[in-house]
Amino acid sequence: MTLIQFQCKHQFATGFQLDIEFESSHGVTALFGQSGSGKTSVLNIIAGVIRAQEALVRLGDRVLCDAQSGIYLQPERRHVGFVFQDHLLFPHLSVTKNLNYGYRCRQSDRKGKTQNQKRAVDFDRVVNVLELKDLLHRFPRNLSGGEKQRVAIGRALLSEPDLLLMDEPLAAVDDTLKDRVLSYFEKVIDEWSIPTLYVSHNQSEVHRLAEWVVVLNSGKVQSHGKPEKALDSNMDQNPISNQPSKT
Amino acid sequence: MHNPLPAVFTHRILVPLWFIMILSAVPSSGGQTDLPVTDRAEKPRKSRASTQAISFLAASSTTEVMREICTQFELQTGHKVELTLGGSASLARQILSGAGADLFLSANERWVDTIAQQPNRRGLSRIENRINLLQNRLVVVLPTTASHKVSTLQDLLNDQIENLALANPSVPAGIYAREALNATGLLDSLEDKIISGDNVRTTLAYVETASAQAGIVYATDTYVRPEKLKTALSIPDHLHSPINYPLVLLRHRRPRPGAIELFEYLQSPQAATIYRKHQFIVNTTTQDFSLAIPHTDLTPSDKSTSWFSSKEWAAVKRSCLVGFCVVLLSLPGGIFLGYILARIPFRAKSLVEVLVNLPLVLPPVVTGYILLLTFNSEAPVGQLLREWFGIKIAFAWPGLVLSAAVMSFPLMVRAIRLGFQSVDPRYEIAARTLGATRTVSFFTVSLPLAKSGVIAGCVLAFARSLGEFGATVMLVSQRESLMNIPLLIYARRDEPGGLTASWGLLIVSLLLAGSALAASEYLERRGQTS
Repeated sequence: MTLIQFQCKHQFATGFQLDIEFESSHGVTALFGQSGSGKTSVLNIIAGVIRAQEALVRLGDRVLCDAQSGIYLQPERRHVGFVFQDHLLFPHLSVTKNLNYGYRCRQSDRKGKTQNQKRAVDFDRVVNVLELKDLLHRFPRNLSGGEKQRVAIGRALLSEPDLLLMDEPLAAVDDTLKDRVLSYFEKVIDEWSIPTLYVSHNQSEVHRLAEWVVVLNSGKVQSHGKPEKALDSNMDQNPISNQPSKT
Repeated sequence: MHNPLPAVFTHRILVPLWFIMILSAVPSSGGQTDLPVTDRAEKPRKSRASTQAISFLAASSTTEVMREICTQFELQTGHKVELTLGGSASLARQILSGAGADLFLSANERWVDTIAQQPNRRGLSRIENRINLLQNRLVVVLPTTASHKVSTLQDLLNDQIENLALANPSVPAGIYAREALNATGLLDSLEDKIISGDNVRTTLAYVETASAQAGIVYATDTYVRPEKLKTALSIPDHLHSPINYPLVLLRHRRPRPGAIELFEYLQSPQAATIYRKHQFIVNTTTQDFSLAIPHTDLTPSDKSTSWFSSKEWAAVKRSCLVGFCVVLLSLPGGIFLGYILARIPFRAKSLVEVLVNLPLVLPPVVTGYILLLTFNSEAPVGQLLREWFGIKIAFAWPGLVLSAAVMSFPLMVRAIRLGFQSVDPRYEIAARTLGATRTVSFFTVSLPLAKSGVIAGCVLAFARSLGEFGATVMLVSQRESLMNIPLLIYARRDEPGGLTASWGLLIVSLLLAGSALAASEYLERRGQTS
């Protein structure tokens, strides 16, 4: 079964053109490419942050947007968890409140429909798996880069998403900590098996996490396939920069 | 509230223009009294050395008659006269601060006494000669369109008379009118109707525009615009102290040529004919006042000696209450506008920005005048509010709040907008991907993060409201029961010793403004660290 189907044509005001089509039926799909290749734009279109001129986004049997039939779900109705490169934890809320933010929004949304539905993602479980117990009463400004990213992924998880979008989540984390944070990601993927789109320009991350890779180059799909194959065919002409993607 | 503007402009712009000019000149003539004095004192030595113009200061209620007489005098004698017209109080202050005037015609004796009591630098009396030149009467005037009648002072209690225009109690016309009302026992019951014009001319303007349905002015003023005003009643002389116009020849080491001639010409039979034409009563007996005799104090009862009287305390409380109301009233709109101006691009944005910021650059008096045109109870909007909701805005408490709100709104929007601009818009995106609707993300993320900007906006609006003067003086005028801090200080300026009596108010103003600024500064710093 196809988990995610994505088609899009979009021209940005800057002149940059996006013309991308891919689908994936794997648990973790990596979007791989240089900065400026359009990876983040793809995530933004899926999350509903950018409204593309022509787009079709399907998540399992749900249509998130379809320009032809005029469907366009607001970001809050897409049930897509976004983990940002710079985490974007709410600075005025404690870690606990950050974690519960999505859950509480969904709860007030559900009011009147199915009361007291069992929480699909258990709060204590998330705290245990991501080892957040000691951080709960702190504020984002008192967390290290790695801690922030752990809270950010916990916050996205607890909003009970159908799809996780991770936009270079390790770009702002110290090299020495990257390995530890990656192992948390692996634990999360094992535990909840939520379909994930993982944007990165780092080959070893992609090798370690992804089952399927879509390689992007200047707004187009260059190749796709299993990580070994897709990345190898890409090796010869891809001097990957270590700059985080800005698109 | 901006909607009715175009209509107001199109059908009323010509009539009120002169009104704006008179009234916007009022604060400046008040302010000028101290500044241009040196100007006036120095210029004469240079320019008058050649022209030898006689400097004649005259109370503004004698404007027309003195212009006419001075023109005649110039034609007959060849001397030049520089005629300066103004409130007696501010003219007297000019003399006391050394403006080299030759003659002074005051609308009351009190100020002449004050001059007589203060010798010049060489310790000599400033007054060479003094006579009581003219007398005046008080009359009740109505707009020509009025349907009501006033045949006795009691008729002023009539419900059709909503506002009664008097000059404010620091100018003689205001003092005499209050004496007459007090003598008939009406002052207390009329208190709520009284709107105070800054001088006689402003008072007249209130009646002409029918903002007030009756007014008490000098008989001589009705001569100015007979087509707009009708005289309903002459107030008997015995109800108030005699309204004398003392004429003073001021002492100079070398008297300016022609000064004495003018002094005498003003008492001539030729001049008397002109005075009578203008409804003045001419004094036949001239008295010699070289030895100044102090006169009774004409100011009404409540001159307290304490440095912070109940009246001042009431003004401070009123100012603060107005400030709180303004903040509460403008906050929802301020947050809304601040947010959309910071975040949402739309086509009419620059137009909205101009409209919001207009009161910041318009002379406050103009803003106040526009508000008065829109909200006085004769205007469509004012009438509507009055009849449907029973809210009276012009010359009433809500007017204090409205004028302060309009003047402080741009500052509030500015601060709140900056607050929102300092919040990364992607926090909202993050909130929405977590399931928050636009509204929820606004209230749980954007607004709390912009908190310091919002609070700074409130503090600024509050502080600005405390100091609001220009628009308020137009919309509310100077009612005893509706004076905020600056209005009270301003009203005090023309009482002898009035400004020293305002020390308490100055200190309170400084304290309030200072702590407001300190508070917003503190919040700003706290906003940056979190």
